[in-house]
Amino acid sequence: MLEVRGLEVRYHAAVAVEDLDLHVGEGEVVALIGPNGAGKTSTLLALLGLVACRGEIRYRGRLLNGVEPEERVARGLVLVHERRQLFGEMTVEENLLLGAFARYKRGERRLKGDLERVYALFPRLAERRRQLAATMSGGEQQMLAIGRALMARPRLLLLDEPSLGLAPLIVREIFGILRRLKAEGTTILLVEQNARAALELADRGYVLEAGRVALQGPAAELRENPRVVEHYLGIQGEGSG
Amino acid sequence: MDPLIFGFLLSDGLISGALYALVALALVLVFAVTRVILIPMGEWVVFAPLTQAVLLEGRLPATVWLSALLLLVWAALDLRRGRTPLLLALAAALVVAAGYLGLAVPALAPLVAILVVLPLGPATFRLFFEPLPGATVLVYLILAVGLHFVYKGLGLAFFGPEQFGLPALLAGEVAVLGLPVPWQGIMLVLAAGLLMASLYLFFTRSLFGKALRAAAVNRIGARLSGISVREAGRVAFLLATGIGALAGVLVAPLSNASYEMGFLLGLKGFVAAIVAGLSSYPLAVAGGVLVGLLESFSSFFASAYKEAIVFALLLPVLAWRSVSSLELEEEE
Amino acid sequence: MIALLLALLLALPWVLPPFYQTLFVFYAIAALVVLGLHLLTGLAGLTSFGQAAFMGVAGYTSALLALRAGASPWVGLLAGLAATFLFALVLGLLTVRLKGHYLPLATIAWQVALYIVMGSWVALTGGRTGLSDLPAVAVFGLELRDPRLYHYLAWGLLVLYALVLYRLVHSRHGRMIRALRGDAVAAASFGARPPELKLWTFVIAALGAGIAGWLYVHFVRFVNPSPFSLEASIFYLIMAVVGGVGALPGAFLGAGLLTGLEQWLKDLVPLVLGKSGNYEIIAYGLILVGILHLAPRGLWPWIEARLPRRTPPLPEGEGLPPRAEPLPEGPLLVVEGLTKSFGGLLAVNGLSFEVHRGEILGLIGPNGAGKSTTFNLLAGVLRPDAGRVVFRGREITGRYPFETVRLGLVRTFQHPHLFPEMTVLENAMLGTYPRTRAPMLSSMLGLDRVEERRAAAEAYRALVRVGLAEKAFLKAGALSLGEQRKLEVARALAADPVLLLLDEPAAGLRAGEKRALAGLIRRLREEGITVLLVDHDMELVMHLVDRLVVMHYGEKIAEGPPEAVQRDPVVLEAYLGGAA
Repeated sequence: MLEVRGLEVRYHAAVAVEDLDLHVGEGEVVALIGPNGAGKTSTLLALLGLVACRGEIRYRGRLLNGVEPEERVARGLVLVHERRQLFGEMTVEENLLLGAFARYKRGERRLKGDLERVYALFPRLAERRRQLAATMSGGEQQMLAIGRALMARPRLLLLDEPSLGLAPLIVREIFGILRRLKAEGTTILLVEQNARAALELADRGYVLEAGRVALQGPAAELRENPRVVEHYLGIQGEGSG
Repeated sequence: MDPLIFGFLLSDGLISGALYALVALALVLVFAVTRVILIPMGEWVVFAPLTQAVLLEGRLPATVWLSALLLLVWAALDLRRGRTPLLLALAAALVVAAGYLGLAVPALAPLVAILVVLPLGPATFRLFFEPLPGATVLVYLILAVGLHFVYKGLGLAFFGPEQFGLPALLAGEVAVLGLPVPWQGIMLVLAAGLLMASLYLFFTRSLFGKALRAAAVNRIGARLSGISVREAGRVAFLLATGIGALAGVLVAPLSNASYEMGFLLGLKGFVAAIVAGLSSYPLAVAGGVLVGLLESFSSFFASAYKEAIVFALLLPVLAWRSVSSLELEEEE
Repeated sequence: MIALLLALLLALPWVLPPFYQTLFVFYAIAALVVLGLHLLTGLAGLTSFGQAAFMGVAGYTSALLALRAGASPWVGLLAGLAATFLFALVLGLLTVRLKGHYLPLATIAWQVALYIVMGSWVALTGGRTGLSDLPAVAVFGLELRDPRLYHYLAWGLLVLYALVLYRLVHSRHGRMIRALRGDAVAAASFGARPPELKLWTFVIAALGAGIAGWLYVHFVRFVNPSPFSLEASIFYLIMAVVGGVGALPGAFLGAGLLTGLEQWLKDLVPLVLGKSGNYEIIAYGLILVGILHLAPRGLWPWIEARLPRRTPPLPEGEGLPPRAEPLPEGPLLVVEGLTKSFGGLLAVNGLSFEVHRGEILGLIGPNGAGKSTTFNLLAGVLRPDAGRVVFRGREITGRYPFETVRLGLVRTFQHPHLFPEMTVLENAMLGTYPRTRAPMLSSMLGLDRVEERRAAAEAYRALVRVGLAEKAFLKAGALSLGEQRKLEVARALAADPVLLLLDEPAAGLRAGEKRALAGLIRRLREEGITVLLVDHDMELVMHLVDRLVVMHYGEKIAEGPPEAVQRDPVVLEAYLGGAA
């Protein structure tokens, strides 16, 4: 479903991602893990077209380079941003409905069904449907961000560090929901700093470091691989001696 | 003070207040969605009644050609984007046709005038602001100032320096609490109220309206939800120009129209918008009424300085707003 | 080069036809205002739509004194400048603290207000018709009525003002003013006090406009509000933007171009439109819009790129006097119970650790652990809710950066807060700000030369230490990221640091650059500087530091040498995450 070749992302003089290749098949859950600053977020932003990049991005067979982010969303490539980017002064329900805007614009007016599905998945959001997004807790906001993304009926769901800043209990809840989505057949590309949780959920994984793919393979293998630990804690590597 | 005079000043202030409130609303709307402080708004507000006046004199106003030209340039820039250039060319033709219609049927002149001025807003956004998507508020401000010069100069070229008198849409006066108030003034206030109500409903009930708000509140979040921020900008400009043109047509019979008035009018609406922190719609309305009343009462006590007072008022407001603004803008 | 221009200037009035003589006087007047804008907007980043109002203040003051009190125009000049000074001080106090776009809006407000008063206070100012028959300026009895003679007066004053401005720009204050515009935080971290600097910049720019106003009214010997309107202010701003507001020659370029174009446009535009009238503002507007889209930095940068470059001589000689006070015994930095929350979120909770003299300490932790907050607390950018920070035996809890930098606590920034338009050497010289003393007036009068030379030598030595000496005169914007980081370190070195706080120095660097950076940090340690660094890059950190402090959820979870920390199960859990 997604094929990335030779991706490069730069911010002025700094290189965030270099020569990155990855692919995601339909129905797969792929984890993108690695230490902070490795370029994971930049990769996702580039996939959505929110930052300039070089290289080839093929989504469902078609080249995405040059397509505006709003159009990518309309084609089913949806991102849950690291900072959620909710509409704070609007209610939960309004945020969710706006998630389906791309479809609404194309004439789909029957959004009730999707709304009910999201509420079934996130009962907490159902309870707070008229509450302003900015007044909710971190975990609830994360749920809302995911729910909003689901309203767009994504074919490929991108998640940027869904566990960021959340207490372990909430993280468990959210990953539980991600497991349900996986069971329903949603294709997911998950960026996470929490390597263990990500690898338990995913089918395959890529370990990013300093903007490049350092390791890749089936999640089960990566879970056992001691080198993953090393990449996180810098034990191996060329060293700066 | 004589209660009759007080009444006059009050009604005068409220009527101008309605005008300034509308201009302020338009300015706040545009700023919220695009971060542009739309200085040329004043020119567009006054272009509409001036266009109407020229139509009533039996000539085709140059604004018709300007609008059509801008639309065609826009079409040329977007040549490869689907049906858009075709629709724009059609719109250009429509504007010219409307112009001729206005000549033929003078009763329709006010409506035609609004229609003719309407494309100026979104076209200006597309041609001058959209190509600089990430610029700071300051760059947009300087750009807006440059465009103000252009439109003001064009106003002089199109309409000359004279003042035009325009027939009232509703002639005559009515006695309100013993005070003669012109029907036209009441019409303006009512139209302002109606417009505000419609905007309110649009922004709170319609998903399109909410999408526009979303684009203003969180650009990235909006794009992630499939809301095109560029389109939102164009819609904002369109709405704002519409509000401005309507306001201009309604107020012109009360005080005549000349090309110069645009700037001062825009500035006063702008004072009201600043009171609103460029972000709150209710405060924009309140600010507009405040400016109108202040101007009206100052004109009684210190006629020559009434405008200076209005602007001096701006300084403490800006200071207050700056302190309470949590935004950190990068300085250009 | 300069000598040639000056000779040209002296000869010009006798060579030009009368119309152009007058034009050249107006050119000088405009250039005075635009120079002020160069300082105010180009360097300090404060956009003003109100400079013409200051012209009016000085112009009217002088005119009124001349007509009502029979004073000589020279008295009028002094009085006019005094009045401008007062107005600028008051308005400046109100305006310069405004943030972002509120500042230019405020300038519009008082510009319009002043303009209306000028036109309405008929008893004082003669209203819109103005006052006429102003006396001419006289020099030793010779009345300067002829434009050729006035040329010398106008250009003389202009050249003087330009010189003063040039001196100011190339002094410690000028560097700091430029720094303020890009990054108030970085500037403050080297000891600047932003509100003061901005206020004086505002006043100096206003004085330039005041001189211009005085010159104007005594040239045409008539004063009315119209040359001091908002549109005039906008016109001067257009000149500044077209020429290039960031460079002094840009001011001359913009002023000259548009003064010349003005006449030409006044004739051309009506021709294009087919009717007579003052339509040239259409052209001005289009020019401004065009420049903003096509050449946003103005036209001067284009020309400058094509001029031959002269390399200035290398700074040499004595540097600045080093730190006198010896360091006390015991740990250099002690952090006790540091706590900080934002709203309901506890970012740092009871953090305690020490930094020993001569060591390299690393502060690490997963994302959101509170490292940046801790860093900012130590650097004085944030005030803690509880806890103490003791540096060199002195309590510095909650002290501002400009105080702690004088004690030798210097920080760098994660995103290089360098100033790309300034040269590498000038950027490094910013670090010397807390060690130099010359007041603004000294700088403007050129009395700070010795101190400047020593500061330059000191900064150059810092560049040598980091390995950037050959690039001293390049613009900082041309450096690679690794070099920019080194420049940040050089700037910190120029401040004579005792403890260097490095904020994610490795972010975005390639392997080779990281190695070079690590080598540099080790060399600094050998020279006696203590280093505390925060970073995510384990590759860099693990091979560089002597000790680590690991944070998680705002608390310290481990401390010790790298090998021990890498094996600590608590640390592993924190980084790799728990099961979910």
